[in-house]
Amino acid sequence: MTLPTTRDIAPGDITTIEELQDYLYRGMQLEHATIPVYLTALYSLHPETNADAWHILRVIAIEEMLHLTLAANVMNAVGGQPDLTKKGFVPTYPARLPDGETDFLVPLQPFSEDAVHTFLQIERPRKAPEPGKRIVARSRAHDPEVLQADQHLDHRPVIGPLLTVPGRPEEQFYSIGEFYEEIIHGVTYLEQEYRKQGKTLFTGDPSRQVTPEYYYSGGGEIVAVTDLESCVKALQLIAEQGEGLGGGIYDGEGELAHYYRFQQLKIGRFYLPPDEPDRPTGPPVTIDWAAVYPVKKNPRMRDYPQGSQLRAAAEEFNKEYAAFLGMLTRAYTGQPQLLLEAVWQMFHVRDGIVRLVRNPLPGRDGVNAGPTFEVDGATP
Amino acid sequence: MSGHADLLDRFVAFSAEATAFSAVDLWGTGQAASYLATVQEEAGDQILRDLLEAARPGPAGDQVFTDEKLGPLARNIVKLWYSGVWYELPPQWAARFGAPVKAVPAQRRPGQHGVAGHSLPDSKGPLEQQGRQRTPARCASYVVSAAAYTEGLLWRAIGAHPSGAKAPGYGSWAVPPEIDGYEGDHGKGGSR
Amino acid sequence: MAFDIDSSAIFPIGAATRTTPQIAARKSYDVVIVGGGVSGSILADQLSQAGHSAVIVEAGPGKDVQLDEYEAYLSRFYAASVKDNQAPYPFNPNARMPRSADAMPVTPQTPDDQYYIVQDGPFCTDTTFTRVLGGTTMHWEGKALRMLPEDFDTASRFGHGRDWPLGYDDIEPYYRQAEQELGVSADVEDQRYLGMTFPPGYVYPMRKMPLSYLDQVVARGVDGMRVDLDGDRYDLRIRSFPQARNGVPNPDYDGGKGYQPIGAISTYQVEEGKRCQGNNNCVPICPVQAKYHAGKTLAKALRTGKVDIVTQAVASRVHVDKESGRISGIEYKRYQDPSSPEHTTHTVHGRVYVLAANAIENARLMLASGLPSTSDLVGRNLMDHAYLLRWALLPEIAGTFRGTNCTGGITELRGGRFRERQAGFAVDIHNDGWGWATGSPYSDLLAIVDGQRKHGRDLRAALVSQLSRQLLLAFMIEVAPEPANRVTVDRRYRDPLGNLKPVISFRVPEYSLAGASFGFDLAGQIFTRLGAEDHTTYDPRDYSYVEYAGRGYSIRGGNHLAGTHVMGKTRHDSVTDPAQRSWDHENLFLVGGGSMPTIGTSNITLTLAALAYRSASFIDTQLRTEKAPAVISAR
Repeated sequence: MTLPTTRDIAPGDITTIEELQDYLYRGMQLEHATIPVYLTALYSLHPETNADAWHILRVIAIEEMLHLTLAANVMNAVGGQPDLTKKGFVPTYPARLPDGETDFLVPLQPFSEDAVHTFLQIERPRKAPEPGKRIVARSRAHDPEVLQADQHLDHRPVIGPLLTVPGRPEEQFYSIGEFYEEIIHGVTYLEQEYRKQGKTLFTGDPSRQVTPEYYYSGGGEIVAVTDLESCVKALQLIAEQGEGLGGGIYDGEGELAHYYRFQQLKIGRFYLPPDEPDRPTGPPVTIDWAAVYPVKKNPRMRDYPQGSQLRAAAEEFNKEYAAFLGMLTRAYTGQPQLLLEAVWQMFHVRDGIVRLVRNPLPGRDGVNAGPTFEVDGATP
Repeated sequence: MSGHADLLDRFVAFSAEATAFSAVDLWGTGQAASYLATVQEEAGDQILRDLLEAARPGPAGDQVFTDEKLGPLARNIVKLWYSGVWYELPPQWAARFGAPVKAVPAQRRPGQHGVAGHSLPDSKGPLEQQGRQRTPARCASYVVSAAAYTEGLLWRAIGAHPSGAKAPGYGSWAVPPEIDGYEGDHGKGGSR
Repeated sequence: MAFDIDSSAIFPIGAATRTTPQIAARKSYDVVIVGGGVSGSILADQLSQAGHSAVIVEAGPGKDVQLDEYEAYLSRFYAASVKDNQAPYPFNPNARMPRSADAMPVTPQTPDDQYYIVQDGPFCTDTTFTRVLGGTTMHWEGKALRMLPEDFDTASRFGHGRDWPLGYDDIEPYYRQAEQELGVSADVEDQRYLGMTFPPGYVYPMRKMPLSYLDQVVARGVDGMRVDLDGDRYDLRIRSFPQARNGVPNPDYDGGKGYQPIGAISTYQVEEGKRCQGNNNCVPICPVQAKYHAGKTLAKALRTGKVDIVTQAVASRVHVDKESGRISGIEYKRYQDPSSPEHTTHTVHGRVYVLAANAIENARLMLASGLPSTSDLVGRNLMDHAYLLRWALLPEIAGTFRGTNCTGGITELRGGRFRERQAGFAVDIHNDGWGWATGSPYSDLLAIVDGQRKHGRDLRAALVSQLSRQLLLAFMIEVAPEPANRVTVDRRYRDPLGNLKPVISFRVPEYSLAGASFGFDLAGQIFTRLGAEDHTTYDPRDYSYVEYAGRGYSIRGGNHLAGTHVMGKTRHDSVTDPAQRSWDHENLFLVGGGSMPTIGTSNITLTLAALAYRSASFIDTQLRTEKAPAVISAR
């Protein structure tokens, strides 16, 4: 982790507040992008089964909400305008994330060994091989699966792969961790420059900060961002909660990092403090891979027959979800108390997904419906 | 298999009429197959087919709910969807219309009066054994499964949730209920 | 790096099973505690933090408090056809639990032996307690009312009940400690009534739970309602109850340090239950553990490494040294399998012994052990709140069946001069509708589908009309101690392990019935103000039917058991001293509701938790004195 130092630091990729805000928007987009993926897997589990998987997925989905909120706090602190309702904020699935120089696909899919593999890929700690390698040229040719997916898509993704460099679509961040490193470097640099002029980067209205009163989750505390220190703390929390702190399995708050939470599903055992990476010693994790609804991978509205009740239900869900993002946007732009209600809305979202994944897709023997998360145009 | 799938579809279609919840809602409970199996096991396949036949759409179909033979079964299916409970069919009915008769221990009815908390008025049998369902000597009325309880439509119909499941979120109880399609005197109803 | 993990929610893996009777028998503990419920857990936690070793003897099943076990309780509740307050907990004949459904009309002298509690009448109580790790806090509702200052000397003030040897001010600091441990959500401004005081600047750990929409509808009729009683004037209003359930932490708590709610307990990190989700299922089990249960405190105690626990161990005898009167051991019966009465018998030893079962079990164990009692009060003065229910349909949709079981009610009539004549009460508005009284919502479903032959849209509309308008007022009425209300044992009645079962003789005192009668009429006035349609009926065949002044009522138990080993000022008129130490056995502490001389109109858990904290400091002192090297006196 880069920490603020007293020595002058050199500019990185972020040299203006506008660039910083652009990065933060992408950060929010990224943090949100995993939520539909985790929720689809979570609610594909049969009720009264797979409790271990259920809890692991539930906690991570909630913590992604925390990350989203932390990113919104940073955005607000630097005078930006969080907006989760912008066209293209929600990616078209399968979304694409960087893994070094190549992308990997992040589909909406039911809980499965493949899904766990993808989750590990999303959360895997990945450091650039050398400091200069934070940003790399995108060379998707390395990944036949991605190329194939691109060919078979009869639509163009609304947005490009997540974590391309703002303004330079042919370059991308080596990993999520490196992306946040760049932002931390950027805020530190900008604050240094502002201070030289007797000003500060953190001019946002403090009343827009989401505080612990309004946000609660199982893990990790929300950080109100008012200065460089709290800003770096918030950004580090986002990064560490995914990957762990300094190579350990816990973040600075004592929360098991997402990568290791998911790894418990793969290894079949819970971590207990003070376990070392890859060697959990807690009670066994039991999984019934079959007790899962056979949700169609990357479902889309066109999978649902025109005029059918099912299509109406899928549309209704997208409207619910759009309403949820709208409510979050209002909560992040001056009405933090709305986050209490956003939790109710989140429970509606749960009920909506659960309803869809238990419905058989007509004419697709043994395949069930699922939420499409196509919210652009789905006016609440 | 397609015969069974067809029967399941017809069962869901009838249930949608009977409960005034859409087929998507009913599939959405995940209980359709389990409820069909319960009905077949408890009442028999033939009488279910008779019911589905008689209940073909139209106002005449409504008569099945008051029909001497089909009514108790039709009403039981409604109660099943609403509560997740299979209620014992009346013994006189069972004797006359050929539903399997089960030995029912002669017990007082604990749910009838005086049981703290929510209880089933018709549940019988040694109280302590009722937590385990589907044992050979199960009581005549029983919760089909733990998941069935949590999918009861009863609570959705009143803008609530089964106690102990499908939580609505902290503080949500402080605002008026949102009741799907309720056209009553509340004026708040509306649909979401 | 250091793992500075806030592991307050972690139950040490294997802690409930690793101490065998053989291991325990070889050790000499500082403290032997009978019962792993709220009192036992608090004492184990406090004393182990102070450096003492402890062993807990627990009658219930031998599993760690772990998420999958907890969720098995929940699934059992879902699948149970009778959803009473014991529905989640497995049937265990060796540590059998009373169930409300066990209640039946009683024939005195020839009591029914088929359940755990043998009822000798004349009244039949449907009271219960839960015998699993965590005790009755597993199923409790979580109301955490303090007792009123006037509740501590009702004998002197009103001529009813018994005076405590302590006052509100003596207990107040311990109330704060209990409110911290139990995690109480309330606003001080709401709780400063009838003389209750709080130190300057005190706030509860979490903010009050919002009143339900139903409460708000009722408040429109009740707020401002005036009651004149014995020269006192009361202006009623719907007030939120303090609840031991996780709400919004108050940033001002603890001088601005704030409060960290404790959620679900497990042997690994779970991250659930740090805030109530409104499951409306506090009783019999909170699905997410947002409600306090003693497993939270027990986990903390076990993490000290100084506390052992032997489970599936039903205490059967307290051994006493005849010469000194000191307790020399606790004998218990250890069963391997809940479904088999096979067991082995063992004894544990310590310096100090604590009975922390509950008011019925503590008395049962003392009496079964034949311990002498100077005051002859062991088992006497059994108390439980008497509940009177009255129910109606509101004229409008009130959204019943949402919220925690109870968020608000009327508390003004808990105290006042009228207590010279009749019992005080608190009134609960039940967010779970008429369930307690009539079996709603199932009974309504049957009535509408089978009775009214409704289906489809008509059915849905009828359900909304019948359920969403339900209002049930539950009057929690003070029951004063009476020596004849008592727990005894009888060699004819034994459980499968051969332990003597509790035999209960109880009648509802007239004083309480006078309160019930007043409450019945008050409910009628409230219904009139609200335009609500009364649906109350009491069945004379009901086991709990009682007549008073020409009217009949059904009275329910509240599971707030107390009084069987009252504390007092002398050994002649009480069983324990103000520290809950037995007058007759200097190294024996009897803790819990049993020590309470009166229960006023407060659910007893908060008060007995406060008393446990208070006793912990006395036990600590006693242990330090006893452990100190003997000083040879020159005299």
